[in-house]
Amino acid sequence: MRIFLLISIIMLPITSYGQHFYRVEADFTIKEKLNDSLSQLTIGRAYYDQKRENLLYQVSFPEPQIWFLSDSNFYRVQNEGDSVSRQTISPLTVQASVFNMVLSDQLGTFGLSDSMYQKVSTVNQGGMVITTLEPLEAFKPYLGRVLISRKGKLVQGVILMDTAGEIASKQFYRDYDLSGGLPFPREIIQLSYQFGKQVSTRITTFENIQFNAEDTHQLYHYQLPTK
Amino acid sequence: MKTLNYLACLMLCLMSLPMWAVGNGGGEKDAPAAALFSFDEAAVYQSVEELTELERFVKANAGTTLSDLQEANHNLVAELTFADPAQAALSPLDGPLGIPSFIWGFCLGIIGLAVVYFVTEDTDETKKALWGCIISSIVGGVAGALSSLQ
Repeated sequence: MRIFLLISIIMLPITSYGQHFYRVEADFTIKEKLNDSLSQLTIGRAYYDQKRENLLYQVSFPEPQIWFLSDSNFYRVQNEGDSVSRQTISPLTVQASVFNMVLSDQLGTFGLSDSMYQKVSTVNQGGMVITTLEPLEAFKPYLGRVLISRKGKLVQGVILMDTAGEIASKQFYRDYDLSGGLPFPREIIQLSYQFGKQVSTRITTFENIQFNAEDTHQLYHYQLPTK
Repeated sequence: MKTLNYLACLMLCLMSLPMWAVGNGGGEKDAPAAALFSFDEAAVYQSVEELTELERFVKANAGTTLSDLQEANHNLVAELTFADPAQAALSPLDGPLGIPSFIWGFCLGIIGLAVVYFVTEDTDETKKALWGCIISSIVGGVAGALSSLQ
């Protein structure tokens, strides 16, 4: 009996995280303004399967099309398969997506935990826990600091700085949906800067977030048109 | 049973240790790090207000495309200049970690250029990073020259 109780206590942290999430899908809207002149609006639904490492965007606006990201390939499928174009992309595009970071619990570290950065301080300020990461000594001439703010376990903001200490990018993760099993930010605001001036604004919003859906199985197992 | 209680207490202490460490770690208590996370929220939403109106219209009228609206010269798109959809497809996803390649080049110099090249293997992305690197060098050079004159 004692051994059983002991094993139960040891296993408690493992069993409490029993449900494994490997798929996530969500309606998305991306609004982007670049240099106060160019605009971009993209609306659709995204499907990510962590086991297959495939990310599919079913875009409805500006024009209906499929964006399929797999490994280092980006496929754009238009006109119900009449036109398929391929482009080489960074494998990090899928790995660094919010979908993968949420499923692999890396959003809190912005995926930088095993990189060229090291944690130098953690402070409590303004109701947030702010962690400062600095590049390893060898990379300091080239890389700036990164600051990550959290409330509880939820990342609230990420600031990327250049080597001069000027802000290059700010990202804010807001309005978390906590109902689906894993916290998922419903809104991401990204601001980019050059020469201390904000040059682009991007607001991404997510709705109808669903984990481990089975009724959209064919989209997680998407097959590119053969013609 | 005492041993069991001891083990249970020990495990609870160990499980709570990481939270304690975060809450009390680090220095820089007076550094205004929290202020860096502020931004002009109203200005940000204002800058995309036209796109928000367009978003509402498109969602209320399922199946509407940009070309439909442009052909009809709809007032919601008349004042907006859209990026070429073919070129813009990857824009929301561009650059390693979603950071535009130009910024990688500008902020990280040669290392940034290498990151973009090896990670993306994309000539266009690398060119953008190269421009960032060149401009960064010029800015650095001009700033250095100016400071040496003073």
